[in-house]
Amino acid sequence: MFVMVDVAIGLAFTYLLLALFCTAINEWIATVFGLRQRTLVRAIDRILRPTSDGPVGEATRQVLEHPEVKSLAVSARRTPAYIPPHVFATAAKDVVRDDQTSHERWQRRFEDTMDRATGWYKREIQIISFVVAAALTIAANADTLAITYRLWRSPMLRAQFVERARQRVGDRETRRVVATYPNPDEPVPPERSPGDHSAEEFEEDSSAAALTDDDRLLLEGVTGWAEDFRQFNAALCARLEAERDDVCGTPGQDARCEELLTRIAAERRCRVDGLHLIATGEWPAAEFWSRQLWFAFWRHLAGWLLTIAAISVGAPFWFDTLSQFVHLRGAGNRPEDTRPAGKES
Amino acid sequence: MKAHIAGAIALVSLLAEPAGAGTVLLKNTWIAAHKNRVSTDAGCRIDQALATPHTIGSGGDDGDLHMAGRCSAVGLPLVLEIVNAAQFPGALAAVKTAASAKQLEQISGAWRLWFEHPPGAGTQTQGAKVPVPTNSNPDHVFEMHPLTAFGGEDLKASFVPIKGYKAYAAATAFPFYEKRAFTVARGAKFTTITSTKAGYNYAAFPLTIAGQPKKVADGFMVLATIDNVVTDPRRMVVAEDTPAAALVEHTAEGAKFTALGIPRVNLERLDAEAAKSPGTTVTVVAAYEMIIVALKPK
Repeated sequence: MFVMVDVAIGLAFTYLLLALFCTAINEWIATVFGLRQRTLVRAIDRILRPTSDGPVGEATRQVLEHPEVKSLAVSARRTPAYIPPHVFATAAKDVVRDDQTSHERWQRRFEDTMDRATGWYKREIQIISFVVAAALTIAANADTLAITYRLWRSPMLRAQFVERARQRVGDRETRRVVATYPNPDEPVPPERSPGDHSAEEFEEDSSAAALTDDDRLLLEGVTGWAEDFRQFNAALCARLEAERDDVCGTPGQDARCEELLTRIAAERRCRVDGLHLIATGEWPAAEFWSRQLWFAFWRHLAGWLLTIAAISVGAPFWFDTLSQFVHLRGAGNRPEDTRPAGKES
Repeated sequence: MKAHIAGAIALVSLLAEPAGAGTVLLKNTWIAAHKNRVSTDAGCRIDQALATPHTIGSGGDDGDLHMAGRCSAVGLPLVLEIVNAAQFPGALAAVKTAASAKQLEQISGAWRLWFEHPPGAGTQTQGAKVPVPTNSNPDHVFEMHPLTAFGGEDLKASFVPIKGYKAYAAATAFPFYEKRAFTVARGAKFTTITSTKAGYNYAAFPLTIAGQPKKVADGFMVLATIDNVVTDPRRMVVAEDTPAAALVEHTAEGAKFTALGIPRVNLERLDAEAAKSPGTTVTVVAAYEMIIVALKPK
């Protein structure tokens, strides 16, 4: 029972970390490309020119240049990302010079249109999220099936995920200790009973959103391309080994043999082990575009799709799910923090 | 947003690095027996061995002779290495014979737990069936390195500087060792230790003795600081009857040496921390100690 819950915690936590990263990239894209501003301009244009499409109209331009609107932007050259309805109403009345439409009515029209504009923005960001999630999943080789398998196989990995997940959802911290010997004359200290504390200890701050080194190490344990790259490189190593045996086994080929051995020694994708060349997990370079790429693609496709779908759901969902799993597990009792006073760093 | 940027940087660095963590489950009884010992003794079957020692240069070109085998007393995939192997033709011949005859050999050497070639996501459990190694450097976290005896060949004289070898400088290797984090959890019978891939096998470093040496069953243990690099005392492990042991036996606090050493997990520290929180996970930083290969007064 606990194994399944722990695997679920591991998966949810992996999704949470990836979704956090995905959110950060989305935010960056939205900022760099001014997506909020573009949506706002589009919404204003729809209000002022309800029957026209195409480039932004002159009235919209004038509203955006209105002093009350302009003062909301970070700089004079930029468009604000948000305009309060009453500011828009003031600017619109000044620009359109329409005494028939009241200030309140301009406000309502703005609010109604912005409701719809929020939907446009969400759809746009969902598409971007999906593309970013797909790129991230493939780049990190975050294959849900492989992650599940690794978590299922490794009790330690599961324990690490559970521990870190508990920190993330606001549970207590894990102890993190620096190994030191308090008495330099006791390199082999006498056996002590649990509860005695000699080492200097400190606890790490677990910030809610950032990926810490611990998170990174956890992700390293369940994602990555090293195993696949080994398979990519295996063919190259086999070719090199055969060529070496052929060239160096032929009399009169000393110079070529030496050149080949030098090349093999410098080859990071294979390592020499006795008479054999063993593939490493290094980037396979040209070997990447081999048939192995298709094998890897099909092997991971289902797992990738699951991951992409999961990340696309968003970090808040996975945070809630993780909290529920952690509470479900209960996670047992841990010892009290009995650090000696003054030993914190 | 700041947090997101930090996360982005962390994950970008993740993508740039291939995965490489390893987990080993050691028997608590084995840890208790070995945490304050330099070496271990075992009857081993040598399955794979290099025909010649590594060349001597820098990094992995360290002059060691590598072999892989199965030792029932250890019960883990392991590699065995003879330091300064070219100077011991008798041992080289014995290794060659052992590898071809596949017979049991009595072998002694410094035990070395270090995540240099970790098994990736899998777990290596002490006492589980060890697969027959197909090359002389299979995925492993356990080594006997350096060997002190192979069959009838005494190798304690191999604990001397490796002529012509450029070891890692203290300023390069020790900051890396200091940052190593080991996640440890002690169960009823096994202790689980996880860490990421490690490196910097041989380091040349100046040290200052920080306390009194302690005689243990098969050598000496002494705390020392690493000059200008590590101010907290770290444990130095010296095999008995080696040239370094003769120096350490009569040394005193404040004595200065230059050393050639290889790092290993400090099981004494890990066990002490794990014992405080049985059944839970503790991350211990800088739990390493140095196996002294060569020592010279400064």
